Amino acid sequence: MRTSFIKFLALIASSILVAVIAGQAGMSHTQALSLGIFTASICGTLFFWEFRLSFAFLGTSILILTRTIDIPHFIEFSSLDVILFLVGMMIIVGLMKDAGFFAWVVELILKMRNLTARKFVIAISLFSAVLSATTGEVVSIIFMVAAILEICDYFEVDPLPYIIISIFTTNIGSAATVLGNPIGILIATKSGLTAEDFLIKALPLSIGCLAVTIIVFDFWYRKKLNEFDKKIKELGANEILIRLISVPLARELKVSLYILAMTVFLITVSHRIELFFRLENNAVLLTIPLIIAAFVMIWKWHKAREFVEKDVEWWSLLFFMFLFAQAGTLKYTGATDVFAQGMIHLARGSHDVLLGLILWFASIGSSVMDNVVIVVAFIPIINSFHALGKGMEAFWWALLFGGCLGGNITLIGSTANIVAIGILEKEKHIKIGFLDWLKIGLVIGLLTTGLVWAIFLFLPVFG
Amino acid sequence: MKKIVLKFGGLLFVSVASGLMSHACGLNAHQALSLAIFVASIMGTLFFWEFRLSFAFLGSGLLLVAKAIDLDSFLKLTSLDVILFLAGMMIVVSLLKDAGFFAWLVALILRARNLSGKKFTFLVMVISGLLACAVDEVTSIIFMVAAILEICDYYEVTPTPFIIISVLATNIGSAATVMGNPIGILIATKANMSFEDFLLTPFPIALVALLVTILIVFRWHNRAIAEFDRHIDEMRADDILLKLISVPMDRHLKSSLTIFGVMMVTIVLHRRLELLLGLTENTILLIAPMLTAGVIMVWKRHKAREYVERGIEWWTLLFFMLLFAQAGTLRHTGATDVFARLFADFAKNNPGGLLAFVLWSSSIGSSILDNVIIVVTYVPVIKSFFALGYGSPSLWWALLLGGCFGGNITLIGSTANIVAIGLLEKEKNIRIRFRDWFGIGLTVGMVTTIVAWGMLLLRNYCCTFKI
Repeated sequence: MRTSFIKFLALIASSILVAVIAGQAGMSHTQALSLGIFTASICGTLFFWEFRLSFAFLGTSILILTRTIDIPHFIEFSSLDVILFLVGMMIIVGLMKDAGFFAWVVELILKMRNLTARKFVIAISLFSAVLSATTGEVVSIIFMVAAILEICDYFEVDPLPYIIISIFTTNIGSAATVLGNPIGILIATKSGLTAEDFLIKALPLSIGCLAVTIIVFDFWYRKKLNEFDKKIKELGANEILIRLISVPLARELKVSLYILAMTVFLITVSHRIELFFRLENNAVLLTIPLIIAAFVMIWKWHKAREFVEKDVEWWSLLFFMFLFAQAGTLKYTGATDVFAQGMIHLARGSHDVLLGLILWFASIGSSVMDNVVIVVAFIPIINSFHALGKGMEAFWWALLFGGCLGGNITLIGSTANIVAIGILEKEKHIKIGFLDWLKIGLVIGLLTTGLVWAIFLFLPVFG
Repeated sequence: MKKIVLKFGGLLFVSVASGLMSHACGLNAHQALSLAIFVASIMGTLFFWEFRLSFAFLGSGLLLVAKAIDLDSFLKLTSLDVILFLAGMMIVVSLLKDAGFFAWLVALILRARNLSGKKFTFLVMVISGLLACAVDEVTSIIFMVAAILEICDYYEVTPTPFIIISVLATNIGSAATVMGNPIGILIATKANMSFEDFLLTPFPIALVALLVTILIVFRWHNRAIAEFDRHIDEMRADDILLKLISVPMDRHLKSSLTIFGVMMVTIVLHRRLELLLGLTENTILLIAPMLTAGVIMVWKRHKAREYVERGIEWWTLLFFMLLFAQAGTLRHTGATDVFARLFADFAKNNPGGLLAFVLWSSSIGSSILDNVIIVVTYVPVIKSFFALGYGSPSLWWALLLGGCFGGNITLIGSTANIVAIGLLEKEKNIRIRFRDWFGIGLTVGMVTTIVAWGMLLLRNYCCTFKI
């Protein structure tokens, strides 16, 4: 009770302080207020994770009551298109879960022939990355953890290193497509980047990060991996395990696989469709999940309500909606223009310095906060960089990769981490210390962010 | 299976036909398309109730891909403010449910002194009506049904007539305020009406309609009421029941009621507050539930997630959102302007006729369709009337009253009916037959609509002559 009271006071004090300083620094009344409330919302997510939605509701009410913004603009900034996209995708993922898609993937991993420790690491890394890039990081990590625990139980080895690599690769993979992470679709809609751009640029970049991560991991945990190899020799691979489990590929699962493949395919070519029908950018990208979700709900009509009510994370979506709108208010009042000017001034107008600033700031910021919060705060600032003219695209990629890669640095860096650690604690009573994680997390996070930075600086295609 | 194909064929045929016909009548391609898709959505809800969300998704996708509307405009037309108002209200209602407010209220009826059949009927109807206009009709009917079943069980009378009268009163009461029915807040935002406007027109009309209905019910169900009286005389043991069911007002309930009360006062005074703070119209009305929900979720932090995930009817809200946007598209493409212009001559020469048309068509329409659908269809048309200069505020009231009162006509006229009948079937295995309902429903529906008509005409008359 006492600590939460102190936290609350700290929150209020810091948000008032920010507002007052901003006011002193020359921001207008409304700009300072919107900044103060946005700070309170961010601090709210940091200190009072449980209360984040309440803070969003209350902050929004204050913004509206103080006439900092009016309801129509507020609604415009809530990015309902992104929310509906996520609703559609969550319904589709709900079907995949229901049809046993994830159980099937788990089984694929379990049934690997001629298992060795290194092969296992590469396999779970690739599976984690691909799954998170196609179905979203949270769902993907839940099933990957289940698979890893099962194998490690069988061979009686410590599951921790493999859970960690799976989390790392999940976070890295989630940067590869628009589907992987809510920030992907958010950046796509705000920047006008298409799914195709993600395929050409984000995917290779994230494969590079994946390779670096696997190499570093191999070196870091070489003792544990050798131990695993020894166990495999003792127990004679996983022949018994293979015989134990064999889930046949049911018809329903096959149809679901087609649906997922179709979704990914249509989203990838969505820009072509838009060009062909001369539609505005991202009109097709955003409607594809809705249309496919509609077919899913017709096919599984007696489960449709369940998909909508249970599989769609309404709590998070509602929070996102208000967060988007609050950040939009910063833009509306012009507070972000002031920031953008400040950053340009700080970087002395140099594009490269600015790029590094965004990448590192997003990366380190999202190691302590939800990456959606960081990205939402940065989007209006980057929009205000328009004055710089060319080279806007690189900023968006920096934001995306900073937000996803930074999630690896700490234990609480991304939702995937929190979920996986929660499962591990519940199932196996294994606790990971904050510092234990930080050692490997910092190395991987800094190395991958550094790699991306180097590529941005030396390969001009990203500008 | 064959039936479904037939229905589906019918749906496609009607929607394509309406698109083609309207195109032939002078609508352009986008207008005709938006009309056809809207028709398909409505037919979808009529034939395939289970699939309504899928139809809404598909239709919306089609509208966007066919360029009938651009994404930004479409999103603006979703009336997210209305949706958030409803979501906030649902969180507040979850708290009230959780705190035992409704059980307390039920105990309040049961403890009425010297209960008689007439008194019971009167109490049930008044409380149903008031509860419906304070929270919302669906929540209100759920608890009223529970209360009635308990009392009727105790006195060993058939609950059916009392359930029916409770539903009738609920539907009538839901027209009285902004909160009673989703169409209330929808009309309030689209027509810029304040809570005070509601207090001045629909509230008295609903009150009169309720009184008339009570009189009708006394005549109609006099046998059931007499039987109830007989059973009371036999039992005469109110006191035992009284002790059994007395729900004490605990601190938790008191705090919840205080929160609810503060919100209600804010909503009632919203126009004054807006004027005081210099806010645009209905700002406070729309954010009051959200602000309250924010406070509630801080207070009840362990239950906050449950309130949001279970308390809010996301399925329905998602459907509403897309339905609003599809109807808005009709106006965006200009299809409703074409309709309004068709009626223009008629409206100009005969404003009373227009009023009657809106009132009766929405009343009869909402006896078969969800009243939200009827209202959503009419909103853009009435807006087009205003744009052409033939609008009058009483058209909005006609829409509201027709939409709520018409729900009484049939068994499936409103959500409250369906919910109550479902509960009765589940709990007592009693099926209400179509004819049980139809006589009293039709009478009450017609008479209350006539009351609304008369009072709206009177209102117009008074306004014209400044009485």
